[in-house]
Amino acid sequence: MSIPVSIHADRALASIGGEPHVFHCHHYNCFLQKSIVEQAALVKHESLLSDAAAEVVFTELSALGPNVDVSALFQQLGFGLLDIASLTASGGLATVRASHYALGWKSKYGASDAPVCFFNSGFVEAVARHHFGGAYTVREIACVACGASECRYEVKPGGREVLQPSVGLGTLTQWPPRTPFATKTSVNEAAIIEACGGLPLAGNHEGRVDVFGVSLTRHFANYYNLISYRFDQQMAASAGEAALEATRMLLTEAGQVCAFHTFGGIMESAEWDALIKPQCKTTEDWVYGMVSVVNALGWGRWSVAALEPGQRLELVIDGSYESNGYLAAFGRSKTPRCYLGTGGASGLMNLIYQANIQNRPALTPAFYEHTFNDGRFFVAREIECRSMGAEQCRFVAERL
Amino acid sequence: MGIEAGLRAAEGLAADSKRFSAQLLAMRPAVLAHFKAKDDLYPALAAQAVTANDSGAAQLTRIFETNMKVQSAAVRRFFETLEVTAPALLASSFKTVASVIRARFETESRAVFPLVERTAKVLEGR
Repeated sequence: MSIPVSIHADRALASIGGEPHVFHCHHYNCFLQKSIVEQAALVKHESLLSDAAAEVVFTELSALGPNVDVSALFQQLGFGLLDIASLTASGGLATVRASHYALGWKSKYGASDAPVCFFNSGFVEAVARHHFGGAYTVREIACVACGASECRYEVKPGGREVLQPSVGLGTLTQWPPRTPFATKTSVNEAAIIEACGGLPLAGNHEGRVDVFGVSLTRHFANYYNLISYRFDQQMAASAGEAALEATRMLLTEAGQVCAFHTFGGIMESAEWDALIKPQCKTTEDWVYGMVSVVNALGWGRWSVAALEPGQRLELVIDGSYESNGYLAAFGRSKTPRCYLGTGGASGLMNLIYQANIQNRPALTPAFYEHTFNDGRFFVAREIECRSMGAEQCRFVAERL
Repeated sequence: MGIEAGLRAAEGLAADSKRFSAQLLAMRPAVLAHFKAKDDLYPALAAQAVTANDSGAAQLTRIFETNMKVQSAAVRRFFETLEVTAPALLASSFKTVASVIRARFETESRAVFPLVERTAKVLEGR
């Protein structure tokens, strides 16, 4: 039985048990995780990645109540097949087949020397705490990414007494009226959002959501927020401004990777051909078409604020999940915080005007390098951010 | 004339396409030499961090090296193709290029060079 997803159309958000959920693909999930894991000299990557998962999942399970089918939730969200049958109050073993993270990692980076399913470990910890009360610690002792036949998690009593509660939908504010430029297109955004809502985007019999040429998850928005912002906190604490700047570069590139694969996959999909492409009379309509799809992903409301064909995009996001979460969990920021939005803005323009996604190129690693690093590519920056006190998050992507 | 002064001079001539192009051509050798030197510098900085046995600094420097190399290539491409770029495109691209160059210099002053000093001090103390 599926767990109901609440759609907050007026906020362009989706939630389960009060926790916001957003669609993201294995390319983004694995790239983001790898960016953190590779800084092991500066951050405690294992706890950073697993603790955040335990916190957001535990908060959601608590809201869903004692009878929630946690394996069904795991499967529905696209993380794989979770088996907790042998878990008891004194611990035990949990297993995951077809783990999103393990399979995604292997497909992108090949075999790993160490387990990679940090999110799953946190999920299992939250499940144990939810079912049995008290504190538990979880360690992944076998991982498909390392060659095991399934991922296995050892659960033991003990660990943190209390988990930090997640901030839920975060800090929401009234949105200003949408810019007139946002509707200067023949693309029917409302129809696209409605159609996307009808797509079968829940996990299949293997707990996988394989669409648009990627493996999708309906992930916990606050997981991304916590791991990203704690990552830059830990980096700054260990190596100051240099680490903070490097973190921004890594997280923004994660956004570009996301755009390249997810936006690219969507714009090359049969669904795009059937529903959106026929509405696109100009190249610029492709920008509007993709922005319309994004507005069905639970990322907040994206709007085109200005568009010079082939040269410059000004993009506004109302209620970005990044700023909602940052403000609620970390307070006011001195610097822009929407890394995904920044990478998304440059990614969108590079796909349409640099990569000519209209010609359906193969979205390979080599083509990624070509698209974002060669020729006259687009670079983006966030010029206003809600986390700094602005009304909206505003991005400019310009051609170099 | 330094690069920042050159950028400001070009910005002041943006309305006059001939003088604008001439200014960009005049500052080209300095820009190309600067970015070539920087491209050579970053691997040396990473090596210095390794020698200083500072794995964190080495990792950070490699991240900077990767990102800066992409920026350098784009800036060099802009200046290397001045003669064959249409004036309107030149003017619009220059705004982005100038902003990228300034952001890079600011990042290097604020974040990169203090990191380099840190590893240099370790080596001096040996």
